[in-house]
Parts: sequence; structure tokens; C-alpha cells
Amino acid sequence: MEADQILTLQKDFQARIGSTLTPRELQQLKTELVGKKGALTQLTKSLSKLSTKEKSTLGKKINQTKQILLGLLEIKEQALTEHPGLIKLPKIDPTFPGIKPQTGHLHPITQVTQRAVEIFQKMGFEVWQARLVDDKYHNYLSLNFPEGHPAMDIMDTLWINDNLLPITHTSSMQNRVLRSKKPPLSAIVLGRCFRREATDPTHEHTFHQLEGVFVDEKVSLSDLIGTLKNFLESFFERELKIKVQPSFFPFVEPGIEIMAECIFCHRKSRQSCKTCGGSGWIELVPAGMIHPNVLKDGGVDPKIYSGFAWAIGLDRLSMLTFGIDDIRWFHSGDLRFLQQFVI
Amino acid sequence: MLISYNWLKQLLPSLKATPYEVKERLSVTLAEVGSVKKRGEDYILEIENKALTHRPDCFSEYGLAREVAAAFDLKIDAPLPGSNELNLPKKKGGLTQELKVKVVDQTLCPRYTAVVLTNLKVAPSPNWLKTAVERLGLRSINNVVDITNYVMLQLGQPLHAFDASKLINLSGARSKELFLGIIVRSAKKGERLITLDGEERRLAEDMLLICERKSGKPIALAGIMGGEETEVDNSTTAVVLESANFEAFNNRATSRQLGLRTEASLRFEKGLDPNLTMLGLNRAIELLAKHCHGNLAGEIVDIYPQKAESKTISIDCLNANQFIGVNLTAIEIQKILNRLEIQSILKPRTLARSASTSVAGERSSGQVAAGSTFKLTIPTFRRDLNIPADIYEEIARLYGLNNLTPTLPKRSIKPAAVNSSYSLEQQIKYAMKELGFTEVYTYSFTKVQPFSGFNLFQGSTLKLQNPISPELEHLRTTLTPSLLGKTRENAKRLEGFKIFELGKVTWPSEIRRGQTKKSRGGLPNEPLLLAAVWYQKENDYQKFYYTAKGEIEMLLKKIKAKLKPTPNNSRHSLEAVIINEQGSKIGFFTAIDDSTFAFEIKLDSLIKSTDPLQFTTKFQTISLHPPVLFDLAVIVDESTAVEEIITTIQQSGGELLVNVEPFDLYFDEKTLGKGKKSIAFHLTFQSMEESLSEDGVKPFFQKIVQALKNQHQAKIRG
Repeated sequence: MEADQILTLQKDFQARIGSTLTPRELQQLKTELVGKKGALTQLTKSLSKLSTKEKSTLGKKINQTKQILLGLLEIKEQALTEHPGLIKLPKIDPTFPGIKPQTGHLHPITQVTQRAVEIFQKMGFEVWQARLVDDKYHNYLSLNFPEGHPAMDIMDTLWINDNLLPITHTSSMQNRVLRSKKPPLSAIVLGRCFRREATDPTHEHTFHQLEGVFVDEKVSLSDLIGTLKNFLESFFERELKIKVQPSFFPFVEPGIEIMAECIFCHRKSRQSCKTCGGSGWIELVPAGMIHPNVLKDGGVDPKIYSGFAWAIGLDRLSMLTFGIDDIRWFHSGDLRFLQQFVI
Repeated sequence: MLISYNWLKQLLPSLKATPYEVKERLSVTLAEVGSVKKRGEDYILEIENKALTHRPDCFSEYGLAREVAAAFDLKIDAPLPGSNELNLPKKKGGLTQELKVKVVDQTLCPRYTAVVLTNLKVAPSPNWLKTAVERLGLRSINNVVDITNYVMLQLGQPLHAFDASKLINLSGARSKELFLGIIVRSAKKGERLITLDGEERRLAEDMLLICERKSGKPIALAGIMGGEETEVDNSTTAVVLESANFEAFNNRATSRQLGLRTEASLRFEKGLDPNLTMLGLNRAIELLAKHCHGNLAGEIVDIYPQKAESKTISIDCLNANQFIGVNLTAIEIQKILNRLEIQSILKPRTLARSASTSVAGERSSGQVAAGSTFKLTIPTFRRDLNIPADIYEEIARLYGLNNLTPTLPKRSIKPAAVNSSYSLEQQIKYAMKELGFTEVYTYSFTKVQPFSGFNLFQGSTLKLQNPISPELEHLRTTLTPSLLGKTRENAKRLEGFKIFELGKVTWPSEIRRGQTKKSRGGLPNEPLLLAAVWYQKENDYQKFYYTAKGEIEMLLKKIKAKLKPTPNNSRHSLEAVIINEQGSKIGFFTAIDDSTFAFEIKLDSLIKSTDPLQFTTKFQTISLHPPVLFDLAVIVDESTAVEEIITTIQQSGGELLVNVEPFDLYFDEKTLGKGKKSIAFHLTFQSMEESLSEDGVKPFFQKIVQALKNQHQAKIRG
């Protein structure tokens, strides 16, 4: 025990006596102070453990404090009983709204990305980030797009020169991921992608992807479907019906499109559903088994290993998550839009 | 691609499915069918061309019918159009010239098939033909042209008809020795051709041409569009009917270079089966004879030096099952492949394999035996099937992608490596959010803006060759201008706000002497930047500044960086440099105008190999003895930095001085004198061992006062 402690106790009770507004609260305070288990009572009890010299100095202090506080209590009691209107506080209308603190906001795509990344991290995927500008080899040639192949037309490319381009997809990192180490390999790649497209409510020249790559021995197409079904169910926190359609991308064989039942209409009352356009399904993840040529280019032996890859459009996922109806809001920088997304 | 449901029914009379059921099924076995539209008595199904990029055989009704048959496990009953023997009477009269064809570049033209037809009557198409081409999206021109198009839509083989008389005229030969000949060769520099659409095309080398043989005059862009000079018109009576095969990449390159895409190039650029030319030609001859009174004038010319043979692929059933994640028997696999016209022979098992397993055994156990290998013969129209994985896809899609049981890969539970850059980004985003900033995304492309003074990068920008608009031509090197743009827009609506953006920008790497683009990989640097803007329309300028400064300092503390301001800045050039732990400049903090502050930092040097989210705080023991507090106010020159004064106080105050906190700053010429400022400090003395008394601390205080007087000519107030 220290003199300090007594002082603190005194300050604390002084403040509390000062702010007490009813005689009942005051009575309670008194019990807390000098009742059987009161704070001062406890302090006095603990004196017994100390040396005589300390006992006398601290005892004196305790006593002093007790006198001061009891005096204050008495004065306050008198004041409260005799002049109930003595203590004046400004009037409060509790129905009036509280003052909004100025809080920050993370972009809706950031929020959705973080959530998706967290799920994949739990599943054991490493996080990679794509470059903004890459070369033709990484964006196309290493992905089984032969030079001059019509498949290159699938993506309208913005070119810096014959070799450099702002990436058209996060698969631009696939070759580096494959080369990073011996399988088993599991990684997701985040990146900002660009295509030469006119913008409208559903098209943007700038968008964001989450690419996934998984390579090991005996990895199957069923594993791919299962992995993404589990991810989507975890993301939307519900069981989802999944539909798989064949699709074509040069860097996978086979290529598929994973569709989920529309999370808005649940395949009921479909006609009126704006999100799925009445089909009851929403295309969510283009994916596929990594093409043997891509594995080979990445230094992975397709005779021993197989793997799958996918790309999730984070802008679209964000639109679905928050019910955003126009993709152009994302880069608008408009605070009326951005400040709606609170977490 | 469009496909007529009625035509499907003709080829597949046993098809029971409705047009909508066909749509559903094809969508899960081939490619998404976008729509079904009723057209009169017919239904037209549409599949986006992009989705069939890999399936040149499906750019025809017959090819799609084959896919429908496979999907529903049906057989096409009608014979393949054009596959029946031609049996045409040779009529007298008309042109009798022999067609002479020479193919110079056989890699670009693997097969050239053509024939001369005479006694034709060109007329508007009969109704059935008109409907047939129009329902699939083409314009009806005349019976001859429509028939060539009709055959293309049915079989996928583009054809072209040249007016034979016009071709003869081009040869320039005298009437005595009429000459009809064609040469297929690459263009020479400077050649020109007026195509059927009336455009004069400047040809580049390597573009494949069809030319009149004697004069060498170009008459068509091979596999793209014919020339105007040999166009079939109402007076045409004889044609050279071409059904050729052209190499895909060259065709695509030419069509892209000229910006000319046609129904023909759409098919050739995907790579067609050379075996299709004869079918197409036969079918067209048959129709021209029937509907345009045409008859053959001579033999069919067929230059086909290297016949395309069926490929063989071997697949292992166990691998197929493992790859797809199913458990099919060899017989089930064989049945699926049969539906696709892929012949399969089960290879005899090697002796090393257990003799107890057999195909029959597989059937009863439902297990496929290891080592069951199929040798497959691939029809030549399936040019997309080359490797086992291609076959696995065929098995999977016809088995039914939606019949697969979703499984999870078996993997080790070793935690994935941490990406410190990603973690740092998230940590900083949260820190900015805590400070009340709203995150903004802006485009990576900008119009170049003059942004001197505090740009972290001084080099030039990278430019796009084909930007979306001039405003989006350059790859940005800094984030601040974009943020200031968004600030101006939001300022129209809001009194005050704080925004930030975190992202990569592009700094072209300078090529130093002795370095080549290759040695740097040619890739630009992509530093990670953080930028933020404070905006407050009406403000108490001092409070606005110190609040902003307090916020940035809070952020910088987290990333172990600090501000290095210069004192005595004028209001409009308030600017500070941000330095990292090592003292190098990594950013700036600056006033933009009376209501705007901005900062930008390069975060790269902060990305360490360790996880930035790990706990780095070390607990400081708290003294249990009461502190002694002093306040001290000093008057110094305006140009004296507060930091310097603090340093002096700390150095002279001794060990017991635990905290120095400036709290009151003012400028007042009347009371302080010109060029002077007054700053007050809270000084805290505290000991870990004992309670200090005011008298005990006094000597230290005096030392501080003395040091301030000596070093800063400070006057002590009060």
C-alpha cells in the first residue's frame, strides 16, 4: 500500500460525489466507501500487515481522507435534500440523433477482396499479386496462346508496344507461380486488369481479378468443382446449387464456367430477377484444368502433376454482394457511393 | 453461330427435345446457347462465336447437328450433304476451257479444289433459298452466290464463284487461244485489289491472293473476299467455283491487317479440315445444277499434295478417370467416344499387368483396371483434339459435368507462406480507415498532367498505343493528381472529407549505359504508393493543418517513417518531406490550396520479408512514483524549429526528464517582437526508484533554461 493509492481513492470518490444526482446514489457511495466491504475499510484492515512506523503514517492519511470524504458526502446530501433544483444540467432530448463520428470507409472491392482472400488463406492458399504491366510471354504465350492465334481476340488488349501491355487477366502470373516451387502448389493471385472496352453499366476497361492455381499429383476436375463450390458457399454463407458449363480458354483443358444459383431469386420468381436476367443462374467463375502446355512452360511435368486454375471477377462479386447495379460506380470516386459501405 | 431447329429435325428425325431443351443440353455439353428465337415456323438457336473459337467444325449447321446428336446420343440419319456421287449429264455448248490451277505456296493453301460450271442462269434466289440464308443472318444476293453461302452455312466450307468470262478477259489472250487459269500466291509489295465491297485494298507482302494465272492480276483475297473485277452478276453464264483450304494464322493476320472480317475468314482463321473442300464443292455443284441449270465443263481440279490423315491418340483409362474424378469402365468410356465418331481400340494389356482383370471383370466390379489403354482414331474434322487432356474433356462433357461429385483435393496442412506486401497493404488501409479516410479507386491511366515539385518520379510515362481515349493514354506515375481530380468532384457536393488510394503505379525503368532492355527484362518498375487528400472548405487553417499533420504522423509512426518539415513556410508552400528509418526520402506532405492538403508515400522500402502483422510492440515499465510537472514557455526566433528546441531540452534535462510536450504556440509582434514566436512545453520529471520533490528537480529545470538561452537565444517567459 502506498500513499499514492489513498490519494487516487480520494480523487476518485471526490469526482463521484460531485457527479451524484440522487440521495440514493449518494447512500450507495457511502457504503462503497466505509461499509463493511468499503474501500477505506479494506485499506484500514490491510494496515495490520505493515510495520509500526508505516502504520502510523498511512493510518493518519487514511483517517484524513475519511474525514474529507465523509464531510463531502454530508454536504452533498444536504444540498440534494434541501435544494433539489441546485444541480442544473442542460436539457437533453434523447430522441434527437447522436453526433456521427467521422469514420473511414474501405472500398467495396477491397472489402470483398479481403473476405475472399481470408477464405482462401484458410484453405491454405498463398497470396500473390500481379504486375500492372507485363510482357506478351506472361500474359499470352506462356498460357498456350500461340502467336497469331485467334484466341488472342477473346481479350481486347491495350498495348504499350509489341511486347508490353497492361495485363488483361491475372493469369499473367501463372507461369511465375508454377515456376516458384515444386508442387504441391496452391496460390491465389490478386490483380488489376485492363481491356480495351467501352464502359457501360456492366463493362469496365479496368477491373479486378482473383486468380487461383492449384497443382499436385492426381488433382481432378471434380476437385476443381468442389474447391470452388466450397469457396462460394463459404463466401455467401449458405448452401448453393452449382451448375457447370463447358467453356473455352486456351490455357485450360477442359475449360468450364461455374455458375451458382441466383442468390437473389433462388431460382424462384425468376422472371423478374434483375441479377440473373431470369435464367436463375449467375456466371461466377471461369475455370479449368491447367493445359499441359502451360504446365510444361511453367516447368511442371504434366505426366506427374495435374492442376486447376480459375479467375473470379472481384468487381462482379462486389456487385452481387452489395447489390450494386452499375459497375462504373467503382472508379467514380464519388463519396455518396463509397461512404455507403461500412464495416 | 446460328442453328435452325427445323434443319436439326431434318437431320435428326429421332430428336424429341424441344428447342429449349436443346438449348439447355447444348449449354452443358458444348457451349452456352445464348438464346432461342422463334422465326416463323422455325426456331433459331444462337451460340456466341467466341465460345466456339476452338471448334471450327461447329461453324456450320451440320457440325452443330453432330454435337446435338452426341449430346442426346442419337445418330444423324440423313447422308452428309455432298457425300453422294455426282451424277450430272454433260450438256453441250458453253465454255469448254480447261481450268489450269497452280498453287505456289502450299503451306498457306494446303488444298485447292475448283471446277468450271457453265450454262448458268443467274436470277434472284427462290424463296426457300432466300429464307435459308436469311434466317442465319446473311443477305440474299442471287441464286449462285446464295448457293455458295448456303453450302458454307450447312457444311462450314466457304466457297467462292468467279465469273469465268471476266477471268478469261483478264488473261489478255486473243480469242483464238482462250485461257482460263488461276494461281495462288502471296502478294507483292504495292499490289492493290478492289474487293467486292468496292474498297481498294493496299496489299502487303505475305497476304495470300488468288490471281489470274497469265496476267498475275489479283482476283481475290484468299479465304476473305473476292475481287470486284470477277464478280458474278446477272449476265454471268459460267463460273469458276472455288472450294479451297487456307492456313489459319495467315488468314487471320491478313484479315486483321485489312480490318476486313467476313463469314469466310471467320471460318478459315479457326483452321478448317482440308477434307471438307470436296464435300462443299460437290454439294454446291449439285445445287447449282438443280437450281441454276449449271453443268460441269470439265473435270474437278483438286490440288491436295499432303492429305490430312486421321490422328491417333492413346489414352489410359485410369488417368482419364483420375483426371476427371470419376470411375468409368473402359466400356463406358468407349461408348461416350463412339457418340463423337471417335473410334477406339482397347490395346492388349501388357503381360506385367495382372491377368485376373479383364474388360468383363471391370464391368462387374465397376472399376477400371490400371493399364487399360485405348488407341483412338480422331475424325479429321476434329482438329482441336490433339492430346489426352483434349479427350478427357470430351469424356467429361458428355458424361455430364454436372454429374461429377464435387470433391476437395487432399493436401498437407502446412500453413501457406505470408505475403508481407499484401499484409502491409491491408494494415495501412485499416490505419487510414481508422483515421477517418475513405478509400477511393481511380484509373491507372491518365492524361499527362503538369505536376511538378512534389512528384516522386521525374522520368517520362509509358504510353498506350491504342488508348480508350486521350484522357486515358498514359500509365500514371503518381496517385495524387487522380485523387485531386476526385477531390474537385466531391467538393461540389461536400463541405469536407478525407480520401486515400493505395496502389501500384508504373515507373519506366531507365536504361543505363551498358544495359539492354533485355537484361532488365524490359519490365517497368511498379512501386506501391499511398496517397491521401484532406479537404475542408471552411476551416480554421491552423487547426486544419495541425490535425492533418497529427494524422499523418500517427500513420508514419506505424510504418516507422517521419516527417521532415522546414520551418517558417509560407502558407501556400507548406511542404514537408517524408523520410524512412534510414533517412531516405519516400514521400511528401504538402498544402495544395487553402482548403486542401495532400500526401503521397512510396511504401516499397517498408515491405520486409517478415510478416508486418506480427507483434513488434515492447512493453515499457511504468513508474509507480508520482511525477513532477513543470511548464516552460520560451520566446525564440520564428525560424527555430520546435524539434530543435525539444532536442535541446531533452539533452540538458537529465535522465529524470521523461517527457517534453509542446502545447502552446503563438506569433504576436506586439508582445513578442518581430520574427519571434512563443512556445510552451509541459515537462515531466519522474523516477523509477523514488518519489521526486519539486525542489529536487529544480536544478535540472535550471539547466534546461540555461541551455535554451545559450543555444537558441531563448527568452524565458513567466
